[in-house]
Amino acid sequence: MNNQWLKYGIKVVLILLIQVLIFQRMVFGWGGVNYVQIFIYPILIMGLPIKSPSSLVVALGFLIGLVVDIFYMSPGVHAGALTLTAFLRAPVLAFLEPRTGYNVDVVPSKYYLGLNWYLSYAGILLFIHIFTYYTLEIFTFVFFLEIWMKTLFTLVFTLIFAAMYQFLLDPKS
Amino acid sequence: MRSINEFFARFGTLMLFILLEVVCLVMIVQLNDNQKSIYEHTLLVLNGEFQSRYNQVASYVSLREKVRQLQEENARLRAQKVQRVDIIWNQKDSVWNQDSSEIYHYYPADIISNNLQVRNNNLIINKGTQQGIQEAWGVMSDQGVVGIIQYCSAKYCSILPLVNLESSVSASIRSRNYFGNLGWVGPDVRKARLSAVPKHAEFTVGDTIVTSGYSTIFPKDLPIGVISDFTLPSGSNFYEIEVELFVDFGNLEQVYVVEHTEQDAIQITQKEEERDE
Repeated sequence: MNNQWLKYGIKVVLILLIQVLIFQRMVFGWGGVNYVQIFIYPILIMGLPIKSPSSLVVALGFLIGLVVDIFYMSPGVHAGALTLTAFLRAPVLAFLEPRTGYNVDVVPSKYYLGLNWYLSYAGILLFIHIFTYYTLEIFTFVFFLEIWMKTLFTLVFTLIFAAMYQFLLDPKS
Repeated sequence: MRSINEFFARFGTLMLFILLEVVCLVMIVQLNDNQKSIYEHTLLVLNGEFQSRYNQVASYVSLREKVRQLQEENARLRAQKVQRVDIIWNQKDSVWNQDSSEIYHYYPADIISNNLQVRNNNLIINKGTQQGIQEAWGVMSDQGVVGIIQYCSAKYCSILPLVNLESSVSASIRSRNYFGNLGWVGPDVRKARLSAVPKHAEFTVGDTIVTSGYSTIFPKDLPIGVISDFTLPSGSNFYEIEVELFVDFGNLEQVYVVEHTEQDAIQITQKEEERDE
């Protein structure tokens, strides 16, 4: 149990470092608008074991989002988005549950459930996260089109990196 | 205890989620300049919208009551006007016939202070000499006679109401032509006393008391109240009549100050008569 927590803690630190040291600078776009950002840190929530208590997942989402906010200097924006993502993780898992059900102690990953399953799982949750993020960041539906454009492009690139993470590390726990 | 546990098992995550999202939203609108200004702008717009809607609704609600009051007053005025036309028509051949239709002017005013202490009751209105109000003019509401202007400053006037020990108004019993003097002995502000009605007068409880029109303060036939009780003190030639007033002094908001445009002329005439004698 302690070992598990330690491993998760190290994973959190590493992913957050990658996020704020590398991906925070990888912002690009065209026509003066930055359409693409990459948000890799939601995989910290997405990759938690399926049987994790849902309130723990929500609390972790809030805390991790808060740390990201400190580096992005946007108090509450990432935290709000990741808290919602964490809250909706359980319904999404229930929605994507295979006919045979989940095995005990399984983590939602390509290794256990296949690439197609993982892409739809990550696609839904990352869409929720990114759309919420841009909504909170822009904070007005006047720029509705801008929110949608940014969400779409950011989602595509983030999903590529999330899939790469699965291929490179192929996580089993 | 078990039900509390069940409740948290079922809704704990939802409550935690809502709590954390509220914290996030508070942080967003408090600590981010862009979002803060958008939030404040939106709040202002929504609040302004809400306030104006609320005011519309509120004024609509009170409008009904206002319309009802105005209708009642209208009806009374209509009745009075018909009476007055009759009087003028009847006096067509008399030497007194002058164009008297514009003898009285009415100035609307609001009661701003309503001081009903048993002995020195007085009212203050928000009109004064700047608006042309002068002392010794009459004051009425849509319900009936209120009192007489006692003292005027530039912007305010104090009223000596019917329910003051000093008050004295010439009044008559409607359609019976007996006159008396309406005063107040306290302590009930809903009741006044009509005295100096002669012993041989005929009237009953429920008869209406109106102004006599014998002074230059009030027009004739303004309602004052109804007779609720009367006694004939032994050895006296005059009735003591208890009058239940129409005006509710505890709940008085809008009044009219009555100006008799010929007041000065009549007073001069009276003085000349006195001098002649």
